[in-house]
Amino acid sequence: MRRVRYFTGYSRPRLYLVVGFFGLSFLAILVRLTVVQVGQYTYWRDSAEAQYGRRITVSPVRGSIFDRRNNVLAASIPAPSVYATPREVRQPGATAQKIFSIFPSLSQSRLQQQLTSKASFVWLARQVSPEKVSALEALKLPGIHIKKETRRIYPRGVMAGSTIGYAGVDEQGLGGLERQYDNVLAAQPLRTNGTRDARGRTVSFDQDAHAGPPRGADLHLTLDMRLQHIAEKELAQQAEAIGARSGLVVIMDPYTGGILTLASYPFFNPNDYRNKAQRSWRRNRAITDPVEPGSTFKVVAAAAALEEKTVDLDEVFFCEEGWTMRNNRVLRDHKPFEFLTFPEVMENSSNICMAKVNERISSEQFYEYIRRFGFGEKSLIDLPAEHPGGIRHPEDWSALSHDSLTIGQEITVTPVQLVAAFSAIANGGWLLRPRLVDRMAKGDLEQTFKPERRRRILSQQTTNRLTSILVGVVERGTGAQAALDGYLVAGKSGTAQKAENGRYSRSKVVVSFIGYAPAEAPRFVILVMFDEPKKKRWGGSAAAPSFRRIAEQTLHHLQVPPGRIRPEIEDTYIANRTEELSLAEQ
Amino acid sequence: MKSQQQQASDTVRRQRRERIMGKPTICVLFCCTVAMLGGILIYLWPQMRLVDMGYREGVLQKQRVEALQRQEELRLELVSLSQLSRIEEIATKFLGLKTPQSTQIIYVRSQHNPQHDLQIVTREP
Repeated sequence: MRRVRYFTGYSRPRLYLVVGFFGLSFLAILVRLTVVQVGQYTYWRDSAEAQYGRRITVSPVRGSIFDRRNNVLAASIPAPSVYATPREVRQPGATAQKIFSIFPSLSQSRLQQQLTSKASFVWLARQVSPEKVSALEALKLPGIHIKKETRRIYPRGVMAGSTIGYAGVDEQGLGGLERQYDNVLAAQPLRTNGTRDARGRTVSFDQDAHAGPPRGADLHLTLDMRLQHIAEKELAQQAEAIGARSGLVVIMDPYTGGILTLASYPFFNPNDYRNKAQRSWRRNRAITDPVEPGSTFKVVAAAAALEEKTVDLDEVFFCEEGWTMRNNRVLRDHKPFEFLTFPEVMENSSNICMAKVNERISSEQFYEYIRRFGFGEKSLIDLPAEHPGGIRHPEDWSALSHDSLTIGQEITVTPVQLVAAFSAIANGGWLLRPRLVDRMAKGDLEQTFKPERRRRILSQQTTNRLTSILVGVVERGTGAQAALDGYLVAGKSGTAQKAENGRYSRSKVVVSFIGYAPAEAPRFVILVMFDEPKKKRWGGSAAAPSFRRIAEQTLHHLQVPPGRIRPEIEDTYIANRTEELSLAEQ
Repeated sequence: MKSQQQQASDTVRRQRRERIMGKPTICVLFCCTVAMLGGILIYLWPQMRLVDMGYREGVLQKQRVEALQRQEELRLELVSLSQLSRIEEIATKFLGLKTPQSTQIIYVRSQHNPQHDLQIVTREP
């Protein structure tokens, strides 16, 4: 086959010139490409990414709070905010007018002032409704921007308000559980990359953004909303009926330490936490405001006497017919008594005889029992700003202190400490750590909190004897108004005079009743306390009726049948709970 | 003679030129062009689809977020409306219902599991 020579006849120099020209051109392009692609790679990549890349920050959503039955107590909803960059605003007057037409609650003059300020950034409206923001966006006002934010909502209003606490405008926890578990509820914002087109529209996201905004962990509390409702309703009714300045109810499961109800009256609405009228009711007085416990504290002295075996149950004491002088101080009973057995001393809440019972143990021993019950130290409940209460060391006691402490004076305790102490009597002698959070959940991860036993403070025998004495208090003594049909109730009333100008006030008292039911297999411990009631100034008449109504409804809610058909069921319940406590100890 | 040689040479040159610029070369060029355009199209088509899907994804993503937000708002509204105090008020004030007395509440033991399945029923006073 003959080889074809295509370029025969053409001028070779011209051909070389053309080939050389194109060759050099390609070489130049190649060199330039190498310089751009290799040498200036980082620079051009960054420039390109700056043009089409988009840094997206996905705002986190704060975790929700639920009660033990998964009822929502706190959640976050979108509430965008409006801000301005005054330098970009073209016509401040017209812009202010347009914004005012959408947000009439704002001041137009203030808006104009903000838009003409020299600041580089000013908030115009925080956490407003998405509808208003959409209307504002449609106006396309230069220099006016929207920031996506969320707002904390407490859909049940005042219910458990001071316990749940509140979160601020930036969704940071400022009080109650919101503050205590702020680092758990909050989440870090998600920063991811996207791509945008020439118009600035987002074309695609990274995979991370598809999973939705990052969420903080959800808290599942031990609180029971139905019991909380029952307690708050009774609390408000009774406080108004007796003219009390404030009141509170604490209900605790004596076998787990779980707080079922923590109600403070007047109620605090976390949705309205900035309201000045609400400010004084923000704090949870069950842990922040220690009070003198009064006669409910006689249980500590009785427990010490029974545990140290310094008293027999059938031993009789002379109660001095209503008053006596002890250590140059007059000690009185609320009514004259002559001879009372030890259980009757408790039933009738005799100060004189109780002082006689307690003088058999030393101050150091008594102090040791007080501390053993957890008084004078924080209960370790998972709420912020807990007060440890106040108890002086025996070295600092006066000659009157031993008697005063016996009847619940010269000591301050928080209501939660008192409930934890009574729970120890109810559960057979174990002091438990009160707790409000049952479990935390984030996605598929879940952490459950087990009951935490702090120490054994009394023997089973002592707690059984104390329970029988406290049942007598309700059946025959000062707590008669707390008695329930069909159920055994153990409890103790207390009336403490408030200290005023260095003296005990005659008119201002704190009345309380604390007890548990059913006494033979307690399901809950309830403390009812009122501050400065104007009518009914005794714990047995002011607080005990509330206790009865709350306890009755609580028993029905927990489906605890009356005693005649209960025993075998309660045996199973107690066996299960004791097993739970054993497991927790392990 | 020379002119005949020159004519022959011209003919050869013309034939060579025709061979070079003839139909097969055009076909090759055409095919190359089509292949190149096809390649560009094949490369660009998915890219365009990707961009388009990106837009659609963005829109759907926004709708999804809005729907979830709306769902959350409605859920909270439901919770707010089902507050026990509100229900109790409606039941007592508008429907005339009363809270049962303790004597009106009786416990009925379940036949299936007599130890645990207790139920509360209320009876007329």
